Amino acid sequence: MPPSVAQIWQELDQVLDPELDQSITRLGFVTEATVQGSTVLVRLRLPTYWCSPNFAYLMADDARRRLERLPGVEQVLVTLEDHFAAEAITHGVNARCAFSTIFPGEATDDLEDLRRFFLRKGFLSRQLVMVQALRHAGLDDAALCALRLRDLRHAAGQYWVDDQGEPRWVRPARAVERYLTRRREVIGDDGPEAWLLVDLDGRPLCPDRLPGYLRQIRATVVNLRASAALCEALLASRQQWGAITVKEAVQ
Amino acid sequence: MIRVDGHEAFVIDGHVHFWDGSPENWRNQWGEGWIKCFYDYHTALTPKEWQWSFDEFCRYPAEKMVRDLFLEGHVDMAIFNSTYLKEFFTNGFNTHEQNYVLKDRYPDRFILCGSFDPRWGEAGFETFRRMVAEYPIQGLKLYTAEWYNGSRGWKLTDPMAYRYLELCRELGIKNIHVHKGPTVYPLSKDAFDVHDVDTAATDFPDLNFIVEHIGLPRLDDFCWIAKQDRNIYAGLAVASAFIALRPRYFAEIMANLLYWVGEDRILFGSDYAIWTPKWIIEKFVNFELPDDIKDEYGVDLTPEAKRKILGENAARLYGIDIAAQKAKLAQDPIGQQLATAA
Repeated sequence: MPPSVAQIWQELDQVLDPELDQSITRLGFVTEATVQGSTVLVRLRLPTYWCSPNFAYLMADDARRRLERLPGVEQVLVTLEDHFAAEAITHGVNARCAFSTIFPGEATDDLEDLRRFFLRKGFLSRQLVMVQALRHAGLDDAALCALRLRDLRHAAGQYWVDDQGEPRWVRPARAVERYLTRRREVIGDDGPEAWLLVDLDGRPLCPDRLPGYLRQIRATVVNLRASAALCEALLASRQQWGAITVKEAVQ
Repeated sequence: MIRVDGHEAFVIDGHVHFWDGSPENWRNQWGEGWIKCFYDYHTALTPKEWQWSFDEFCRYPAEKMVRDLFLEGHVDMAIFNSTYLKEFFTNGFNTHEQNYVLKDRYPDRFILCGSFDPRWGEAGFETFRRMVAEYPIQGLKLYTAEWYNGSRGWKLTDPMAYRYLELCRELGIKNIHVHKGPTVYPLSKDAFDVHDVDTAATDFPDLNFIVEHIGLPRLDDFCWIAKQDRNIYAGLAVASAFIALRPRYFAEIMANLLYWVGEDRILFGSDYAIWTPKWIIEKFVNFELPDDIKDEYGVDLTPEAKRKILGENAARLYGIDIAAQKAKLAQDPIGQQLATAA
């Protein structure tokens, strides 16, 4: 049984723009996702003709890998359209070439470093949202810095912290999940005794230096959001050029 | 000239171009891709009533530029950020030679930037000296992401770049505008890096480094390095255009810059002709940071800060005595035209 189109979109929801730390579907980068028998076809269009080929590759390749894991899928063809390196990336991703072989002599195989660099930035931005959610739940800085992972309770899609028998709800749950997922990827250690809030070196945050620490993160978040807003506006602008002609992925 | 809180502000647009992006000048598909991408930036952030047609945008006459900047745009002086892109455009995009057409006609209105590329090697020293001797070059615009002979970019910390910076010292060029913004073809993590500016600024404390586009999308990294080096400045081009359609982001960006960099080291720029200065400046002089942002950062965009950003900071960098310059400008053809209109 081939997967449904809804399943395809669900998988694509999980693919992130590494720089903006947002789903490519939310950002509007996916212009088409269809199933033809056991073949899945996906088209991507980025905000500009000049968007970084490394990010373009990471997104296209992540999409291919995710969709290939779906039962009933034998082939995934991802087409990057309207991009200065569209042909090279489309061909490279579908032929499963490493990035450095698509741009020989121009790229080093440091995409993992690049991905890691932005995972760390994404961790910080998600952490700021997490701290805001905890403060909103009524915890002061001393209390939230003292939390360990076991203190964050979870049931029925809700998160809370126990405060002398009273639950302090931490909302929205999606913000908590986004933080925990990224914390696992970037920090690792997620045993029940581990600190909930840690810096990039895994050290617990202390209430005294929390305001200064958060102010630094704030710049990262402003940068991310302003960049995302710019990308969104640029993508909308691109519509003005009307229909575009692109080479189809090699069948 | 425009008033901020009742006081005249001297306006220097820190980032303008007199470009030729017309199809006749496209060397290949990259030229077309380049100008269309610029046009997307234009339409993405420009309010409808200020948008140009694509044809107008590709190439505009000198008279239009004079009108948009000085006659209607509240600008007193402007800094040409020359951009070469000879691999995309047959005659270059807006080289110092192209921009000189206007500098020559209105010498007191424009500051002309030249450039160097360390990949020219030692052979380029002579070309660089000749450029400075033949043209009234007062600053440089460096574009580290530019393509050249198969290379896709360079860093300020390259040994040959240091040789050129030493030459700048010798020739008395003090202001180095560095494009650290959206990049073309960035293949590695380095292309997202502003740290080469940090190192160069430390090693050349007598030079000023104006980071154009405040490093967006690397604002956070830019803030850290600018905090450490007093000779690093924030060039607002691109960020300033957020003011109309994305005012909240503009406020957040400004709050970060005011907090980390300070009001003495921020330079206004419109990035003309991507955006015209008139609507940006009119919005800017009336712009207030929202209260929650003021409280969070403990900063304010005061009338004094606005006047510094609009022109006083750039005037200081380029050794311009504002009172004397105003008197001079009142006498040039543009000043006379403005006087007649008033």
